[in-house]
Amino acid sequence: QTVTWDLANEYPPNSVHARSADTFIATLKEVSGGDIVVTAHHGAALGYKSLDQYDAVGDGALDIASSFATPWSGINPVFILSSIPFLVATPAEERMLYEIARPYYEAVLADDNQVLLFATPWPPSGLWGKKPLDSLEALSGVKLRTYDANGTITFGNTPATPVQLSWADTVPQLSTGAIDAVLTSADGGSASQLWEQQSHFTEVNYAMPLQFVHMNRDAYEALSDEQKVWVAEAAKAAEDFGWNLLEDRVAQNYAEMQGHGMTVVTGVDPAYIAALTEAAKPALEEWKGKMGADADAILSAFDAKRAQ
Amino acid sequence: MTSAADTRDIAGWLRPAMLFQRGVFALSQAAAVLAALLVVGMTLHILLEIVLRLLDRSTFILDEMVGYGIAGATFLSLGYAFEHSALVRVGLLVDRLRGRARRMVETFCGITTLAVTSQIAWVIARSALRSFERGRTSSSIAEIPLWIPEAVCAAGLMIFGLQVFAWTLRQIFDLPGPVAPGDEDPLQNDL
Amino acid sequence: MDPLVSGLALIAMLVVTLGSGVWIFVGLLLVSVAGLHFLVGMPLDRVFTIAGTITYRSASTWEMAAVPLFIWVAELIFRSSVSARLFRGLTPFVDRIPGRLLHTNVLGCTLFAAVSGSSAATTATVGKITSSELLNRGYNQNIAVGSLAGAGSLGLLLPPSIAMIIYGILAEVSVSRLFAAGVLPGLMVSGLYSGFIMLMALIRPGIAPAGHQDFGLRDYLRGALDLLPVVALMGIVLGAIYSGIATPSEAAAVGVFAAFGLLILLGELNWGLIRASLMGTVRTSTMVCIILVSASLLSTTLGYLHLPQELGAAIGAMNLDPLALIALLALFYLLLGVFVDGVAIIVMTLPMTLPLVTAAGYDPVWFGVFLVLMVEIGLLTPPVGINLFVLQGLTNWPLGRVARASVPFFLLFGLAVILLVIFPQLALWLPDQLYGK
Ligand code: NA
Ligand code: NA
Repeated sequence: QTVTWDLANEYPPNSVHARSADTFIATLKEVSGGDIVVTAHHGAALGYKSLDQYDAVGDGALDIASSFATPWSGINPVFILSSIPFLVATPAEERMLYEIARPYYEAVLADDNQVLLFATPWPPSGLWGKKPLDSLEALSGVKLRTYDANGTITFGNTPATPVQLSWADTVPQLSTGAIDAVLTSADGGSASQLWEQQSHFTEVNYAMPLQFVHMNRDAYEALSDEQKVWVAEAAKAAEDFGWNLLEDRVAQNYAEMQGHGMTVVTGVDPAYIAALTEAAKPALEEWKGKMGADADAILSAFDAKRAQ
Repeated sequence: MTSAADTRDIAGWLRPAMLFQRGVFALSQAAAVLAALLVVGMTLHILLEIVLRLLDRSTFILDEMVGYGIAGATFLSLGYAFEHSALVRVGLLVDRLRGRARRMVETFCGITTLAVTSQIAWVIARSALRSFERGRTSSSIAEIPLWIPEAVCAAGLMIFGLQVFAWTLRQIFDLPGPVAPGDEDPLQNDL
Repeated sequence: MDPLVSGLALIAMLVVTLGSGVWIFVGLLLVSVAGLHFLVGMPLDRVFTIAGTITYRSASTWEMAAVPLFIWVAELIFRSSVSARLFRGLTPFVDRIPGRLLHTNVLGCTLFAAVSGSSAATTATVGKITSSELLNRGYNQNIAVGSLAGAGSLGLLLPPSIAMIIYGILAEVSVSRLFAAGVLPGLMVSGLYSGFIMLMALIRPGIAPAGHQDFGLRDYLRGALDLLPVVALMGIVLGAIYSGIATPSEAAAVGVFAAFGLLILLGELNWGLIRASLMGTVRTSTMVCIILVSASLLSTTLGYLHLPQELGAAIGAMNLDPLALIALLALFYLLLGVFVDGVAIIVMTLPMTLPLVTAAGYDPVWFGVFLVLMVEIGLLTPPVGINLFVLQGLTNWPLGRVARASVPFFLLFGLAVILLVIFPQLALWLPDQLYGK
């Protein structure tokens, strides 16, 4: 054993990204024959949030981290891309977009002394509520907890009222009826047993933002060529695991939610999705404005790929 | 930690030293007033958010702003709390010492404190500088420049460092302090 | 390095640095820096990058804002006639109860715990209001301060509770169930405390000044009137939380608002009071918050040392039967609580201990209550015990005296843990009634 690293992750041990990171660690240990050992610190056990992990990894305070990209939006606009609402409809499209944007992500991270190992998506966000939220009329007067600026912009353009709350306050606020609905994935809501307060989940595939696993460049460059191959192998395995996990996990979550008496509303009217997409337009335009020419390059490549 | 002797009015050659001491403490006091205003600001922002929510509106940045507020308030009031002996310590050793021995231990404590906190202040200041140079903002809808809260915290720690430095000088040269010792009961200690 | 050796090395460093008289938060920072440098073997520039990042992050947590805001409420009460009214009002009601006003701390903390999710805020707020009154009225000082240290940590067990929310998110357990599960054990702890105070008052009547008046109906009515301001304040804050107008994290601001309203009604609000209360607030709250911030760096250091992981793995490898496992975990958390405080204990150990406990057949909701009780005990154990530090700041006593005064209440907490293990229904009955099996 010649290399030991610590990996920080803000999310709980059973979350999809903890599982992907654990896969990376297990694979790396196996292919390296125990030469590279990584210790995972899930649930923010080391005290870092995703935002802090950007510089913590670049500055070498951390060797590796698994970080939610959206809090990095203010560091570089490229990190907003995967959280733009209704830009992709399926996990396959999300992966297509990721493959196209990956060189841009790598370039930004490289500027800040770090290496992108792999990225995996969050399960698609939908609408948890006390009734089907499957039309603009159904959204009327609904107080909806959103999780980022794009959600605030998008649902502010619908008859719903977006509300900003920390996740810790969300369940108490649902219990007292101060808010009506929550924008989160089937997975995120199930982890917090939202079925105790909510009865319906409406699948709208709002967004599948990315989680990056990134490592310090100096630590990476210190590896031998053989060790770098092992890291790449483990990253590939974990990346495939994370993307494949998505579909299974959604099916599992739906079954569990139905087991707790919830109604899962799928196949909503395409006109509704189109209206929501329209509501999200300002978020897309704002991103294009910040991103400049690269935005057009990424989006046109994505459109071309999708058309194939 | 302060005793009645610390308040004897000093004239003569100690004058410039006392000016420095008073100046540093004035800086700590100003920072603490700023911290108090941050506490008021946090309260008002939370109350505003509650009212707006009843009207189906929101500022959307409550937890972010309160987070900056609490960090700023904590670091900005450190120097002031320090000079008022409000920061607790274990008196097992220091309380038993008098005179020169006491001042030597106090000097050691002061220097140790400066060594650790100045490094931390430097790291946070460096981070503020980087955020400023690269134009980094928060990811919320308000896009607050990250350097502002970072710089405030670094400034608070530096003012604390200056206050500890002034205090350590008093220990080395056996000078009186600028703060009148409060009532025996710290709960009654007002200023 | 062997986790036991590095753990012992950290404790030794803590004892030496804190004992040297350096300010407590500096001592915590110093030991963390030394631990990362000497025990983990990191170069100093990396160590300070970590220290800067973690202190800035933990200082800017939204949950910590409850500390200055609730302390401000306490300052407003403490500096107005409201606190004197509180004690005057309680006097006739507690006259026949052995220990008399000594029960105000337990009662006050229990009530305050119902509006506050943080134990530092509970101890500081109730302590600010009661300690000088009790110390001046001739009550036994050790019991007054010890009961504050013990009951002050109830803020975590009784809902709302930051610790329960964090546990719920990490363990994927319903927060509403956890909140309900904490209620009976919390009340049991305050019952144990009150019972202990009564017992002590019967054995040694000298701990409370003798009740000497015959109170008539008029006195009770006047007492009730004197209690009205505090009751109204509590009612407004509780009402705001349970009607959903304010979230638990926002409750402190509602408290400030209500306190201002109260002082206006009483005609006691003036600039001098506002100024003095604010400056008092920043002094006390920065003392509390900077210790919380430094303590989080110490828990980060334990994380980089892999201490919780390795100890957890060692316990797992023993393949103990359920009762032995829980006994060993109690010991483990007691030891960890010696140098880590608060929710950090939960965050850093749960990935290791939760699988062990659920595999042994324990209910995760029950384990949440068990863990929060252990965290509360940790707040009372020196050298790193936030409640002790807060009370040291409020009373100006040496830390050792505060710690000694807390010993009986620490032992009663231990008794509560044993009762919880013997009678798991203490935690599980209420959530089962409210939310079904
Ligand atoms: Na509570
Ligand atoms: Na402790």
